[in-house]
Amino acid sequence: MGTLDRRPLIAGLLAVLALMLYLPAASAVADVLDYCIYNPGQLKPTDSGTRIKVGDPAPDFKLTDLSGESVTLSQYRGKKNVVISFVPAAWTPICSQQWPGYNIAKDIFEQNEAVLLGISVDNVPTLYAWTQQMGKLWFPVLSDFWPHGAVAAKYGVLRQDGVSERALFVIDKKGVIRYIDVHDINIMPRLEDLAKELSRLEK
Amino acid sequence: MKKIPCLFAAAAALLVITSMPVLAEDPLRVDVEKLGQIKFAAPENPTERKYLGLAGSGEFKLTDVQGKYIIIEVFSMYCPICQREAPKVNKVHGLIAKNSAHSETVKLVGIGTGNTPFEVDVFRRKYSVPFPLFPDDNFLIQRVFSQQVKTPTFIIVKNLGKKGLELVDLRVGPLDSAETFSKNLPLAP
Repeated sequence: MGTLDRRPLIAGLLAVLALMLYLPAASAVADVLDYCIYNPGQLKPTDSGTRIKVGDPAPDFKLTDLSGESVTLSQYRGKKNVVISFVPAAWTPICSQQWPGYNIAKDIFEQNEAVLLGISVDNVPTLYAWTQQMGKLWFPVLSDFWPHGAVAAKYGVLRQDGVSERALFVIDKKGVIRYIDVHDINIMPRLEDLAKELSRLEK
Repeated sequence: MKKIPCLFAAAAALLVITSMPVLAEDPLRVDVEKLGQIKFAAPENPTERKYLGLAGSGEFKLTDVQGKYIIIEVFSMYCPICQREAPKVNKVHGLIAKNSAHSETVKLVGIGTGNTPFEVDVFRRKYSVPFPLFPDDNFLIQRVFSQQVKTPTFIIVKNLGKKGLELVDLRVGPLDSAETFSKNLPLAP
């Protein structure tokens, strides 16, 4: 009986402790991106080898966005230029800032009649929680979780450990690849480099 | 019942143990001597040059700024918290300008850590930032801190001119409000 009597007390104490430990983080939603980032340290700059070249037709794909809708690359054929931004993983440095940066540069994409598709190998719930902290994103975020990393593999940017490279592909309205940047995973690609490539596209 | 105090003691001990990493964490420090040595390109915009009291183009240091106090926001164009804070920081600039005790003596500048001029310009245009922003694509500002600095971070310094800068305050993270921040600026008249 004595043991049974103590359980609620112990549970209560543990709950209070848990609350005390996590309250500061929970109450500072704005800081979530700072406090919840897992730092994997310095990684091998690239860990794959894409065979896709500029001038090749871009492989089509069908992925699910965060609202559950299917998005295909081919749906933009003849209508929009497309930028695909593969980021390695949710809740990691660089990735957690790269898309927020693109989020305030919408005019650069619009001026060049381009859409942006953000792709990660994370599953939808993870991507949903992660991107909530970025503000309202104007571009679709697509999950390449299952079959795991299939689209990243198709583009030759799936790393040995199952995450993708930090890679940018620019695809014109005809579905032809015009720019490939498989970037050092530890470094943010420069926005002006992408803007310059977009400005070269036929409008 | 005697066991209840023991449980509280155990819980207290657990709390102390789990808090230790936080207590042991080094506070962020800033080397204002190094900060005063960083050279920035003077703004091309003549209004911004006039605001800072800079005679011409070329490079300048914060100690060249004509202002008794300088508030430096370390931000990044890529940082979503900085993006959310941008309207608030703009408001701080407006409140300082309206305050006759501060308008001539307190200057506000932003340093985009890791940002190129192009990226800083995207941020400036997006939020119509009315105060000077400077790119820092070589992460020079990171070198004045004792550890990697989170954005936004606000450094408030007293500008002693040739004698350098003197740290007044260092604040990490979002501001409570523009009004509270402006009202409680720890500046001597």
